[in-house]
Formats: sequence, structure tokens, C-alpha cells
Amino acid sequence: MIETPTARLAFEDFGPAIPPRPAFGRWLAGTIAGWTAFVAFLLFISWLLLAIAALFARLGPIGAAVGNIVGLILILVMVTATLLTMADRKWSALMQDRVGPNRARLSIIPGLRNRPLKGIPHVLADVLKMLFKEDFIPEGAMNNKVLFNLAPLLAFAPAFMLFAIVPVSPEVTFLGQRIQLQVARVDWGILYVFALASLAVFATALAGWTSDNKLALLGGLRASAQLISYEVTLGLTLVGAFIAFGTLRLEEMARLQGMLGPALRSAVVLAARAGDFLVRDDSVLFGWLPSWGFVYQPIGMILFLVAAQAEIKRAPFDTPEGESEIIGYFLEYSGLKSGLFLIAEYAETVVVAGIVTTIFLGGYHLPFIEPTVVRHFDFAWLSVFQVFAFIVKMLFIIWVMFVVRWAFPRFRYDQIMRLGWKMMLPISLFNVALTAGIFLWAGREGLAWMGGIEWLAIIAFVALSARAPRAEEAPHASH
Amino acid sequence: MPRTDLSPGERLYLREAVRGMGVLARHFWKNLFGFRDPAPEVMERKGRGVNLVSTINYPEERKEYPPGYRGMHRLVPRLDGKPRCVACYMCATACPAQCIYIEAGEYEEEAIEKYPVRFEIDELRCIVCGFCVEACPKDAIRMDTGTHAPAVLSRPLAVFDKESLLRGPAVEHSTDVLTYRVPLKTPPR
Amino acid sequence: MTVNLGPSHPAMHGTVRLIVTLDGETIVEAVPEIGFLHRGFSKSSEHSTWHQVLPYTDRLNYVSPILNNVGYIMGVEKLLGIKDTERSQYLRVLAGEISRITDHLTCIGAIGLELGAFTVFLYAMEARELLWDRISELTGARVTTSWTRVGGVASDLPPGWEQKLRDCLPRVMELTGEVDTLLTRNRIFIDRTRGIGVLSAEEAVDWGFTGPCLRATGVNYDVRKAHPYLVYDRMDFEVPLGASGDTYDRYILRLEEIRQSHRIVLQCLEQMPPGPILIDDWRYALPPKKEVFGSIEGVMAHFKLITEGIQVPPGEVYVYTEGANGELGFHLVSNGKGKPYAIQVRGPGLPILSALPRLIKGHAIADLIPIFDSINMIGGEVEQ
Repeated sequence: MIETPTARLAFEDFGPAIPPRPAFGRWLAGTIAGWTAFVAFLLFISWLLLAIAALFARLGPIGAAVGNIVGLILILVMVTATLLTMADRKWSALMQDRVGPNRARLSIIPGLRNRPLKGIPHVLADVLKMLFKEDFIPEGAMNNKVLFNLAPLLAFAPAFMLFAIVPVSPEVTFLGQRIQLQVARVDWGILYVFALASLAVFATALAGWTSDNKLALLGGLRASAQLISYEVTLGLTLVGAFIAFGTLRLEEMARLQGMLGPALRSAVVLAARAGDFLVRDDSVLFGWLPSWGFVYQPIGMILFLVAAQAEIKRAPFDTPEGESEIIGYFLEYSGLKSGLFLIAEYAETVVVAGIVTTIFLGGYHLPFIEPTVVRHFDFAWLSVFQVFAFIVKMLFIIWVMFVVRWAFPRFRYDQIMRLGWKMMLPISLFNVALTAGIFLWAGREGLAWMGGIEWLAIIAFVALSARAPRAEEAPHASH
Repeated sequence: MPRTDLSPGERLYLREAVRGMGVLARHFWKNLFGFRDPAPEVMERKGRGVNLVSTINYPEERKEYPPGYRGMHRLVPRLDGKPRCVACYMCATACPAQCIYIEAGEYEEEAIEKYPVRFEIDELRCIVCGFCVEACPKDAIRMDTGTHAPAVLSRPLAVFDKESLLRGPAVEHSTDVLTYRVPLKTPPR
Repeated sequence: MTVNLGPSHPAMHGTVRLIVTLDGETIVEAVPEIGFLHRGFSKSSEHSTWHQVLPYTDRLNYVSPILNNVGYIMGVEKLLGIKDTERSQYLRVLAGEISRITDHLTCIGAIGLELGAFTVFLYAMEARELLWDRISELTGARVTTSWTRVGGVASDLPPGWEQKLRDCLPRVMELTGEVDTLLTRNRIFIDRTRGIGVLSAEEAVDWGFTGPCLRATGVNYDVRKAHPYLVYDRMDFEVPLGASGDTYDRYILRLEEIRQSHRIVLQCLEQMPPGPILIDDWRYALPPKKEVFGSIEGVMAHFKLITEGIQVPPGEVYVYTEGANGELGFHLVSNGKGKPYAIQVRGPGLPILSALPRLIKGHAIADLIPIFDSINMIGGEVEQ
């Protein structure tokens, strides 16, 4: 009919066409340079954290504590959580074949006029947006204004306080000061986590109730029930780890997972003759395996990750927010209050990742190469690398949690309950009993054997439970 | 249809968890390191700052509209720059949205007697069905500009008049007999 | 407790409002309220020529517009008693099946999105975009195609298009496979969908279900097989059937239909004969441009067709095709005056939507979402 139009206006606005794929060499160089810069940045941050702690430690013991609070809570957790808001969007974009946010520009700074900078300016833009948005309080919430305003604070504060007991570095002499990157060293260690984590229930319940909104109320109810249920599993999954390490103190657990465990105890002596002694170490399992928590407690680790995911209300356990059903318990919040709820979620992610790293992934320890590092550098440098290792492990766990978040559909509310009470609780109880029995019978070595067998069993289970017959064999309508 | 029961691994969520995370992780690393997905659209992408993900990074890179794309209208000019349109009202009749407004006038000295004094298209009313192009007996209106109707800040700006519609390369058909009675004053563009 | 969901609610795509009475989290009663997208299709059609109705049909089911185009034009052709050319029949089937794939992809993606699996949605969208790009090269627009004509179609395959389609179909199927991996055997998804929103075969027939929702209950009714039109009788494809009529069956049935449509598309590409895409009858089809520009007969036929429209003899037909959601019926009445006297559409979505209160009664409010998605209500065809 119509002739195919041949004459067309040129695409003069869109610039010259460039080849779609950059040359391999350039791509390789760019990739290597980017990753090197990333690693160098993380190393610098590690050094910075230690330096801050050392600097404050000059002011005495209180100064040391303040330094840790500044370094760990204000810098490490806060900045990581803030960046995670962007990382979540960027990483999910990569998983979903998207570009991700890239519109915000730092046009004020010369030279950065038209650069997306991997979307990092969006963090700034988001914060500004939340600060300057109208702080709207619905009419129904005016009667309970105090409680309404209290809810975001109650969500925000515990999330950050949780990190207080996570050890990020061993006790080390850095810049002439004896420091350890850990805010509080307390006997009750991990119990502090359980105690504070349950405070989040108040935030959700208050937010849901005071909002005077039916959907928010539903969200608050769901959140309360879910958080309380998963407290139980969360606690029980770690009991196995307590048994394996024989302590509640996280710094003690982290120390026990190192290959330099006894060595660090008498660091000064060993620094002098850090030679062959370091290689023979009691804390190495079977002579080669780092005695990290995941070796002892595979089931405990997986269950803890799942329970923690539920405890911080992230997908697939995000029924309290379930944005396509009920909008969530923070439905009526706006501006910075809403932002506090969101950032609290990311801070909780960081904390959970920190705890998992400490208990199950060897904390700040580098696998295998610690003696070599000490031999070539000194303990101060080793601690920089250890903080680096901690951050990398933490980021890895966060990444895994994000992948889980984006991979799965949401549970239904009653299914979450069923999963928590009928599946995870019995398994974790069984795990506790088994761990205790084996520990009494064969000690930590026996636990390691158990863990190895459990890992093999899990892998075999996943690999061999083959997919059931598929569509092709099903009867079709025949014509 | 397949209604098989779940195997134990699937029952414990684990197997599908691993598989699902595998899919996402594959996409993640593939996109992070810039191995392009072999979709034909992506391979053909042109523009400044080409990114390596399947999604188009819109303002920096654009997808060229295909040749048959029904885009913004244009009034096709003759070789002497005047519109080919003879104001026959066919397009205005065929238009289901009644977005074309024509006022006809008469040439004094040309073989073609009629021309549009006003020719306006309300791009907000237009539903881009292309019936006007089909209806035109003189090949005077086309939708081959390769752009879409631009966004405007107020409604009157979306009404395009004859001058702004008259653009693009001129068209001359062999069947256009007796187009010019007087010799061309300006050489054809 | 009464909760109002929609019309602006994340899960209420297609702008519908549900007034839900809850007992705890259990739905006691749900009243859907439609009409937010009502455009007055039937009335508008009465003021257009038969040809000018075509753009309205694009906007019925805006996820698979070509299927609507084909359905409507087949009705007009039946009124006129003419038959389109063979190549155009193949083209209609080809583009229609691509449209069906896009529709099912949208539905599956929406199920994923609203169950929280956002990735599934974006994979489905990526696949859909690839196909819509092909559609846009073929028809000139992604969604508002207006591509069919009385007696044929508007444009032939552009050069190189077939190869492009063959290039992008594997990618589409790969992405569909990834969606399959992410959802089909995932226990979370199965728990959310299996046994949810069950309707027995008898009840489904009573409600007037058609399409995937009916076949999910096990009733073997597909217009393409039961009353073959166009060239569907030459295609080798299967009609997947469900067993229990729950949300999971509706989901997996759509997934399987995507595979079957893929087969049909490939067969179309292979079997398609060369030839004209439009009948050479100037009473119904516009003459070729060469005749319009160059001959007086062409111009006259052209002018008559444009100004008066196609002269359809008085009569009344009902034409039904297999739309993406079920039987898409056009009831056309002509009084012979050049414009439709009445056009009624049997949108497959309306009977299904009307059964929604029955489907979701007694389920949790969270189940509302997968059920509502799986019936794939498209506001355009339900509310017309």
C-alpha cells in the first residue's frame, strides 16, 4: 500500500554512532583499574577506621569508646547503610538487565558536570528530598502525635545500637595506641543483639497503630507477629555456635576462628620471632581448614540468615510492607520519618551481615595468609588487612541477602508463621541437640566433622533432588 | 498439565533458592563486567555513552525508530518548497480523531489550483493511526520524520501549523504532471 | 473491616476498584467496581466509518492490540462476504501470535511483580520489549497498531525483519525460561498460588469463562482449535490444559501457551507464501498508490472509499476469535449506511472479572493479588 518511506530526517541530534563494544584491551584495563581503585578505597577506609580509633584512644578509655562509636557506628554502619540504598538499586538493576539510577549530577563541582558517577549523587539527592519534604501528619494520628513520632526513632535507634558488639578488628597496637575496633566488650555479647532486635517490634506496632489507617494497622499486626515469632528461631540458631565456641562474646568467637588465635594473645613476644611458630597453630582444623563458624554450623548459618532476613522484614519476608497488598505499616509517614524507617532497614542489613561475618565467616580473619602477612609486614598492617577482610565479607553477605531479596516472591503471612514455627524452630532445636551431643562426645573436632558431613548432605540434597517431570510429559489436548 | 508434587529439595525451599539466585547472579556478573546479552536490539545500539545492559540509557542513547514508524507528521514539500498538498480534505475526512484542520485557497497562476492556506494538526488529538497518510492522494502528508510529537508546555503549542509541518526532503513523482506552468525561479533544493 | 483497594493501588493495574470486607485478614466479600477506563467504545463506533473504528479496537486490549484488530476486521469481512489474501492471513496469524506472547508475558510478569518477585517482571518486560520492537517495525507503532485492513493488512514484512525476529525469538524464549526457573518450581510461589482461587469446570462454564482461565479448569475450548479461522487449521500446535483451575494452573498454562505461540510463529515464517497482502477490489480496499497518483479510476475509487467509507450491506454478524484472555467476540450490526449501526464487544475479561468475588471469597487479602493478576484483567476490554 504505502511505499516504505525512504527519505527520512537524519538523526542529527543524537551524535555520531560509536562501535557498540569497547575494544577488549580498554575494557580489560578499565575493569582492572576500577577494581584496583575499589580495593584501594576499601583498604584506605580500613586504615582510616583504625586511625580514628587510635586518635581518640589518646584521650583515655572514654576517648577510645567515643572513637569506636564515631568510627564504627557513625562512619562504617551509617555510610554503608546510606550507600546500600543506592547499592540495592544499582545491584538490582544489574541483576535485572537495567541501568539503575543515573540521573542525579553534581553539577556544582567542576569536572563532574555531566557524570552519573554510578548513581552515587542520588544518595545526596534522596537525603535532601527527604529533609525538605513536608512532614505530614494525618489527622487521625494527631491524637497520638508523640507515639506517632516515636515510632521511626524506635526503628532507627536499635538498628544502629546493634553494631556495638560486633568486633571489626582484633586488639592491636596501632599508631602507638592499644585499640580494638569494637564499641562494647561485654560478657553477654550476643544476648544484647537479641534484646535490642526485639525492640523493633515496638516501632512497627506503634507505627501501624498510631497511623489510623487500616492498611497500616494490618502491616503493624503482621510485623509484630512475625518479629516475635522469628526471635525464637533467631536465638536458637545461634545456640549451636555458642556451644561450638563456648562463649557468648563476639570478640572471643572471632578470635577463636583465626589462624593466629594463640599468637595474638602474646603478640609482642611473637612479633619478634614470627617464624615457623605461626604455622603450627591449634586453631587450624585438620591442619589446613580455618576453623570458621560455617564449618561447625552449616544448618545454624543458613537458618540464621533466613531468620535474620525475616527479622529485618526484607523480602521474601516483607509481608509487613508488602507493597502490592497492604502498603505497609509506615504508610502514613512522609519525609525524613519515612526515611528513618527505610534507612533502619538497611542498617539492620549491615548489622546482620556483620554478625554473620563474625560468627560464621571468621570475623576479621584472613584465611591461610595471616602468618605470611605478619612475617612480611607487622601486626598493625595485618589489622588493616583484617578490617578490609571484614568489610569484604560483610559486603558479600549483604550481596547474598540482596540477591535473595530480588529472586523470590513474597510469602503469605500465615505461610511465614508456618515456616517459622513448624519448620525452622524444630530444625534449629534439632540442630542444638545434635551439636550439643556431638560436642560432648567428640569435642570441636567432632563438630567440624559433623559440619562437613552436613555441608555435603546439603549440597547433595540440592543437586540430587531432581526436578520432577515437566510440562512435556503432561497430557495435552489432542486434536 | 504438569501438576507433579515437589521433590524434597524443592519442599525445603533450598533447591529453588539456589537455582533462582544462580539466575540472578549470572545476570549480575554478566552485566557488571559488560558482556553484552546477544539480543539483536542491544547489538545494534548507537549513541553517546553506550551502556552494556539490555536497557537503553534513554537520553544518552536512543533507539532509532524503524523506517515504517508512524511518527510526527510532516507536510511534504514540492521541489520549489511549497507543500504538495492540494487541500482536498481527504486526510481531515479520514482522521478518526478529527485533528486536522484545513483552509483551502487558490493559486493564481499555477496548474495546481488549490493549496492549503492553513493546515493545522493538533498533535494532542492525533492518535497516530496513519490513516491520513493512507488517505492522501498526492503523497503530501507523511509520518516519516523519525521523531515523535514533541512534548509541549501548553496546549496551543501542540497545534502545528503549515510552516512548522512543512519540512523534510522534497518529493517529486513521475505522475505529477503539469506541476509548474511558470519556470522555477529558485533552483530545486 | 472494610478496606478500599484502588483505583490507585499498586496491584490494581487496569484501574479497577475493589471494596473488600475483611474478617481479620480473610476476605468476606469483595465488590469490584469497574468503569474507570470506560471510553464509550460502542457509542464512538457508531459515529465513525467502518474503517475508522479500527483505531478504537487497538485500545480494547492494549497488551495484544493486533488480536483485536484481526477480530474486528474479520467481522467486517464476514459482513461483506469477502476473504482476505492468503499471505495476509499468515501475516495476521504471525503478528497475532506475537501479540499473544506479549500479552502472556505481561500477565506472568505482573503476577511476579505483585508477588514481590520484581526480577521476574523485568525479565518478562525485556522479552516483551523485544517483541514490541518487532511489532513496531512491522506495523509502525508498538501498541496502537491499527494494522489490519479490510481484505488484508496494511504493510508487508519489512526487509530483514524475518531474520531479526528469528534472532530475537531465542532470547525471548531464554528469558521466558528464566522466568520459569524463578517461579514455576519455587515453593514460595507454589504455596502462594496452588489451591488459590479454584473454580471448577462447570462453574467456569457457567460464569462464561474462556481462554486460559477456562482451560486451566480442564475444559478443552480454544477457538483456534474448535472453530479454526484464518490459517490456524494449518498450524501444528497444542492446547495445554489445566486440571484444577487454580492460580497456579492459570500461570503455568500461560507459560505453556507462550511456547505454543512460539511454535506457531516459526511455522508461519516457514509456510508463508509470497503474494499480495491486500485484495485487489477497490470497493473495499484502497487502490495502490500508483493508481491513485496516476489514474482517474484510482483517484475516484480512493475518494469514494475515504469520503463515504466502505459500503457494508445491511446485516448482523457475530465473529469470535481467540484473544489472549479468551474468546474475543465482535457483534456487528450494519444498516447499510456506511457506518456501523451498533458494535458490541464480548471482552473476555468481563465474565472473568465478574467471577472475581466468587474466586477470592474466603482467601486471605494477600491471595487477592495473585488471583487478580492471574485472571489478567485488562481495563480496556472490560470497560471498553
